Amino acid sequence: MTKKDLLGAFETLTPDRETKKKMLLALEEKASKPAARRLPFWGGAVVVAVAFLLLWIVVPKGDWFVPKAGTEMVQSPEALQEEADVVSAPRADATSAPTESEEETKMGATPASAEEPAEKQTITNEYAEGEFWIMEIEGVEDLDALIYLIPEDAVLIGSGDTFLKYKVGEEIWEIKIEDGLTRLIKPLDE
Amino acid sequence: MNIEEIYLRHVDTIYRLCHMYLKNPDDAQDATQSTFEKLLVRKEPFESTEHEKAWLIVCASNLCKNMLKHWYRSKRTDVEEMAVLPAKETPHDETLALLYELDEESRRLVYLVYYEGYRITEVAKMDGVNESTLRSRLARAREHLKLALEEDEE
Repeated sequence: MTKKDLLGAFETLTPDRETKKKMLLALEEKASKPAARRLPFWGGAVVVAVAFLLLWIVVPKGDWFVPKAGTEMVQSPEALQEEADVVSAPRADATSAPTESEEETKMGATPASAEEPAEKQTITNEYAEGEFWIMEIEGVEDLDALIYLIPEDAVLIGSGDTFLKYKVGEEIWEIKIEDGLTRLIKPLDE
Repeated sequence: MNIEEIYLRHVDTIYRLCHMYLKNPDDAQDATQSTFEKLLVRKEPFESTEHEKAWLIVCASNLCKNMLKHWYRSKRTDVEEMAVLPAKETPHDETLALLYELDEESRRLVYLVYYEGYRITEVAKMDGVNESTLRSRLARAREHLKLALEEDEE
């Protein structure tokens, strides 16, 4: 093979006029269009993150988790503790009161409608004093826990750190702590 | 920077170079177009026409290498299937057939040295490759082509 053969071979590869024109037209068309905006690198990461989030929300597990996570973020530790108390109370009732069906417990039986007092509370003394009947109770940590002593139709008309005042029909009932002793004071039955 | 002028100045060189790499007129057209499209987004001016040409050659070479990689992945065909494919438009030439037996880097080197008239040192500088590597590559290519050429690439 000579150099002439080689050059001749390369020459056969030269594009014809039509091909060159076609390529030039395509190039001019491309040049006339605005350059395509490419997504920056971090843009891709954002798209992936959003897609992941959507998927997390859409799939059942994510759907279950996201609202709960939101609630947990809003509630304070104290509120969570209160919630735990409310949840655990009916269970305690269910075990301590065998006559109450599980269904009733599920329907929202609370200590207010419970028939029995909590274990620690004991009525140590009951007596009449003037026109009032007084019950002395020990082991009371929370006045609200004594609500089982109040009739269901009672209406709370006053409350404080050391007292709760109810209106029962025409009567006024009061639970209060005095000198470290908890008393339920109600009008003496005639 | 007038794209049309640059295009008309270098289109033949770039197209032949792409053909050397891709062995196919359609792919060579695509690669040539892509090379000049790269030129559209280039903002820095060229120092000279030679700089312009060298930039286009390097750009086209890189594009062709990428296309070959892509081609390998996407267009692998069974030998049996190839038998029924229509003949390519590539001009049938014994010399070209011999050239195409060389590896793509050697084909490119032979083209740049013998047709475009580049010196080995210039190609080495353009590609950032050792001169001696290119010399031995060219010697092997010449051996394959049984090329009776004088040592005029110095």
